[in-house]
Amino acid sequence: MGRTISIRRSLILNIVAVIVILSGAIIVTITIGARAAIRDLSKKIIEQTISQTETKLSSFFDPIENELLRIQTLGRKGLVNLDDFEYLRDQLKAIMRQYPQVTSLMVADESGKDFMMLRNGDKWLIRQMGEKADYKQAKITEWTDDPEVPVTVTWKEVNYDPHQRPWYRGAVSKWNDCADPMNRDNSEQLIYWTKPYQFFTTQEPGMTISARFQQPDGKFCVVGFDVLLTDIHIFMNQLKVLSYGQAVIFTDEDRELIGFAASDHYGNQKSPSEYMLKPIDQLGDPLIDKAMTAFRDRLKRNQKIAGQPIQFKHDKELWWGSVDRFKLASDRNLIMAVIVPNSGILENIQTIRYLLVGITAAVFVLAIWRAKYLASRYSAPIESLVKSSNRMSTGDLEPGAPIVSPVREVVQLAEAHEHMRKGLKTLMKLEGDIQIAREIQQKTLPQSIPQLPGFDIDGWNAPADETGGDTYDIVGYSVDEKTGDVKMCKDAAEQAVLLLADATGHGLGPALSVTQLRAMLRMAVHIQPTVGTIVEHMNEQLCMDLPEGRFITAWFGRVDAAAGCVRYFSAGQAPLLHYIAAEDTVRVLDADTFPLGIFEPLGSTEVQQADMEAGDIFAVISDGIYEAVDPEEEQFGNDRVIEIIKKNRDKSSKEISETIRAATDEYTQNAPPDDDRTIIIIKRV
Amino acid sequence: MKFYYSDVENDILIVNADGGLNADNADQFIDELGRLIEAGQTKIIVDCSHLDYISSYGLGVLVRLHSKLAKRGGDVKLACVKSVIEKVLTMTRLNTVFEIYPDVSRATLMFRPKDDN
Repeated sequence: MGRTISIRRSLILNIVAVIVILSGAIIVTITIGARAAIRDLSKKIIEQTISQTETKLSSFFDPIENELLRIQTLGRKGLVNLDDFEYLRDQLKAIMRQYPQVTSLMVADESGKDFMMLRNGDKWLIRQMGEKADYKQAKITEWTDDPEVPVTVTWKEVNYDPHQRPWYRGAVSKWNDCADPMNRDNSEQLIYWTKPYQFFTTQEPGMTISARFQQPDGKFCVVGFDVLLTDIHIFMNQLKVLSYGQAVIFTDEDRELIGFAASDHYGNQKSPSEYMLKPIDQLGDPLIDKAMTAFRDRLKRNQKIAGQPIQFKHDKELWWGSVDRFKLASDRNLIMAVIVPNSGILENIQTIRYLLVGITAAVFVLAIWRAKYLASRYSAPIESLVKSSNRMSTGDLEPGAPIVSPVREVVQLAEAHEHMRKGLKTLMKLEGDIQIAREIQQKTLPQSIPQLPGFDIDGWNAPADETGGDTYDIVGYSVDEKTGDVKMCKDAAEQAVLLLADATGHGLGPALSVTQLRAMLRMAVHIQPTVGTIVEHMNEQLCMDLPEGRFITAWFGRVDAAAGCVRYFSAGQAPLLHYIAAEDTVRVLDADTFPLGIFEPLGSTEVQQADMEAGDIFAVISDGIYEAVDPEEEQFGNDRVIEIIKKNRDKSSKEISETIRAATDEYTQNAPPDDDRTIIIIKRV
Repeated sequence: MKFYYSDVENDILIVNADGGLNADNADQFIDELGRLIEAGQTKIIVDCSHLDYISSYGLGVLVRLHSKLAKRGGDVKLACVKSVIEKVLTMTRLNTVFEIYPDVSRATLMFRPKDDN
């Protein structure tokens, strides 16, 4: 038997294996699904943030640009007259009221005339240069929204040349870049944005947008708006990219920061002074530095930015990020960069993930418990059956605890097992009974062979089963000559009655039949009737007692020591062998009539007589010897027995009998006998 | 010894006997014949032309068949019995129990009422 495993363990292991595989599959599916979800979510969050920022920047910058272009259009039509104070004041005031991020407006012509309007809270100020020919005195007009407060006009000497200002120079440069005059109709091409810088008056960060235009009289003017970038900071501070995500806006050229989103990473809001107009590379923030390294290829100038989010690692954390450009002018861009941590994205699905993993774990635990329960439920009755079988194998056939199982086959097995137990108990009892029967039958066999003067008699019997269908008997006795009384003699006797009977089949039934026959003979010996009478009565009785088709072959003999002969009668028992020493031949004798128990009357009951001279042998042998077969199914037969008798004629009856038995065993190669074997040898010495 | 049904001539069942009948199949064979006998089959001829040897067990089967038929007024006759078998039957004197005929037709003839002869 190879390696075995208990049913309980086998069930548990197999069920657990299935559960582990299923759980593993679920967890792998969740993990793969989560990864895909993270990738998609990160892309969406980043795209959304960039789009949001872009929209905000558009809504911030586009109206201003439109207003500038409107003024430029008005200028082309000759409606922007630097000398028309009131018209300019009202036009520019309207713009500043509508767009609070526009803190000041400038219009300057090529002569050096300059009209600048700025607002500080509810205070308004217009500075006009060129009102006086030396261009050193500036006319300052101030007023408030309160009509009660009078307008003041003052003159102040200022060292200010608009032509030297970046916004003016930039607009002129733009104009000049458009070599083709037709392109100068495309006003957007003429828009110039300065780099971000700190406004001189308020020290706040801002940019100036400007554009040149030509009036109908041929004079050139430049209009410019100072745009405060504080609103971008405010917007960015309100923009929250998950908890720990980050969004920044910086210039394309110098990478100067102009917007920094609020983030838990920085303890929420960041003060504008901390970052505004600082080059992003000099911020000293390792996370931003890592992101910038990751974005390095995409931030190469004039390169189209597109593609999937970029992954990078910082502080053992995986981050996703993307960048995009916001175009202010053909040569001025803002960069929008968004980064989000993996864990931040996971926040959204982590709960679901934890829930799923929790449910899976709970299901796993439940399944294990169920597996144990099921294994126990299904294996327990089988284990009980095994225990019961083991008990039965040791001979304990008492009923055990009832076996309860929900499985039909197990219940059927238990029922069959119970039937087997009961059957086995009956069989065991039967075996005991058979053992007793064998003992009884064995006791009916002669315990000692009576000694008759001049004769050497031996009898032997071996049943094929516990009990045999063969029997033999040798009853020694002497008859009182005067009274005629019969006296049984165990040892020395004058005469002996012999019997060899073979009932059809072997086993308990035939054993009973032949034992009955032997008992009848014993009774008959006392009465001393003739052999014919005995046999006729026996046949009559057996015809009544034996079941249909059963019969007994029987040989009855009487050895008369005084007469030196064997008188016998055979009912179906043949062949009988009579070895005549003087001739060294064996006479094979037939039966005298058919077997007993077939029908009555028996027919001939004439007793035969075999005269026994010295050395003569009379052998009565049952068919268990003659019909013993070798492995080729060839019978032992009469001839071999005759040969043995002749060869061993000088030996004792017992030795001849033993030789026949040994030869038979050798012939059958000691195979278990199929039939009972009985031998009676009578030798005249 | 093994038996198999050969033919039915009028009300006579002719059974062929062959070697090989043993304790395992004898009961079944006897039971089968027993059912036929119960159903009224009282005349049986055992054709022994293929029987080269008979054991005491085979003799027992024949006797059982004889007993069953005898109880119902029937008979079993043996036909084409080879000398070696006849020798065994003679030795055990069962030749006095069974009628033995040289061939089946003669055995069949012996089953006919005497008026038919």
